[in-house]
Amino acid sequence: MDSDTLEQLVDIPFPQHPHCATVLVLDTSASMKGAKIAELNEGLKILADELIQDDLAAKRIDLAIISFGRAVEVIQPFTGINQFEPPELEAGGYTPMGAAILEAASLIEKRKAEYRETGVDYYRPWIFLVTDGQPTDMSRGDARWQEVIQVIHNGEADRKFLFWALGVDQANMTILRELSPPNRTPLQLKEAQWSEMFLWLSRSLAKISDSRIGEQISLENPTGPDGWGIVPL
Amino acid sequence: MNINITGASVRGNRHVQSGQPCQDAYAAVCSANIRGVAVADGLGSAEHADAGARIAVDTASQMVIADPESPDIKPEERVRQAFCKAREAVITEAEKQGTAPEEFASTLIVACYSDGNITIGHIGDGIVVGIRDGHSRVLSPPGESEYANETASLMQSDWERQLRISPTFEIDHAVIATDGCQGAVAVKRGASFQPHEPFLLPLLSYIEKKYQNNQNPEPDISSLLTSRKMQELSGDDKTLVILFREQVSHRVS
Repeated sequence: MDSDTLEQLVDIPFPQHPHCATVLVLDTSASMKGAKIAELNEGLKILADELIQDDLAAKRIDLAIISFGRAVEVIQPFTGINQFEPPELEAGGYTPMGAAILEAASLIEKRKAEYRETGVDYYRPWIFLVTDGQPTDMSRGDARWQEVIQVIHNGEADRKFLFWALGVDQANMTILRELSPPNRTPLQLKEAQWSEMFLWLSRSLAKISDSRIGEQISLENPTGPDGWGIVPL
Repeated sequence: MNINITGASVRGNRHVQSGQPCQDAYAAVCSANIRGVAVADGLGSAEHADAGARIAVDTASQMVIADPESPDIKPEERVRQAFCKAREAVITEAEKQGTAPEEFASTLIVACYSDGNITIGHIGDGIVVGIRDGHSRVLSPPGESEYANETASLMQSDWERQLRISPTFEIDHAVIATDGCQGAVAVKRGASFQPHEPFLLPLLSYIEKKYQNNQNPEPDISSLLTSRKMQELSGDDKTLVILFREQVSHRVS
């Protein structure tokens, strides 16, 4: 019998990591000028720094950024964390939140199709909306409003993605509550807690990207008295 | 020709680090003319996943070889009965413990082998590859689920809809793997899985030599599964079972 071990004889393919597509939908309207946009930019750097230190998350998270202010713009198409350069966002313009959310949902469907085509396994994607105001491109009950509500609520119900809404400062939380899926209350950022929020996002994404089959994921609940929440994935 | 069934289940690094038991299990039994093999992967969300997997494989493998002299029982029916009885056994145990059956959830692969033919039943992930005349093919791929952290289980209410029973294949050898090592056995190309022969063929050669030397390959398979390379492939528990027919070529022709 050869002295080679079985490990030396067989070829083990390079691990194929499942990916987790995450879209940050960020308000860059004029009201974000000053400290808020600076904090947001700093937060993106924190997110990148944290995720890159997590070996699995760095391999598995694909990040895209859509900003909505002067226009709805895909500032960052989907990219791995190792290639992610945090952008320097500038504030200005209105709040075309509705179009930005629709763009995010569309981006996710395209990304999933790419994953399927290339045989890449994937986790349920995330959409993470941050705003300090209310939409200026739709009003409660109009056609776009209905479309956005339908996309978010059906997207969650059909398990296409997880939608999180975060209100900052003077954000209209009533509107965010209506937009949010029934089972997920929007969060409101406490003053000067930007870095904590991005750290939470980083830890949550790291946890998702390390989840195994059949596992129920417990995310830290930043608002609840118990400090923990469960997201049924 | 001798038919040998060998394999191992080992803990993945995650369970080693957390001090949890291996939640994979396998069982292989034989009658005069039928071999029954069952492989299960307990779901991480289930509190008694390890017990559920063990009960499922022990019951299912025995059911495959039950009434061996009855020619009326087709392999598909043996496999289907194996799933029914395995599920019943798990529910009975859950009732005994006053726990929900879902807390014993696992995937399940059942193979019925007789006279060079294999029939497979499959719920959830894991994979079965067959080798015939030196050519490999996937006999039963992982079940379809959109997301990487989801799979079907024996204990879900629509388990019958999830159960896939393969046609009967003529094979020389077969390799069954749970999710933790299916990435070594087959590689995903687009939507389909292709056997990874650079892993499979040296594995079969090695096993052949072991049997020729009257040695048990099981410790070697166990070492392979706990090796650094395999642990890098996945931190999950790993089970690899090989149904090996002696004196039959498995080399690429």
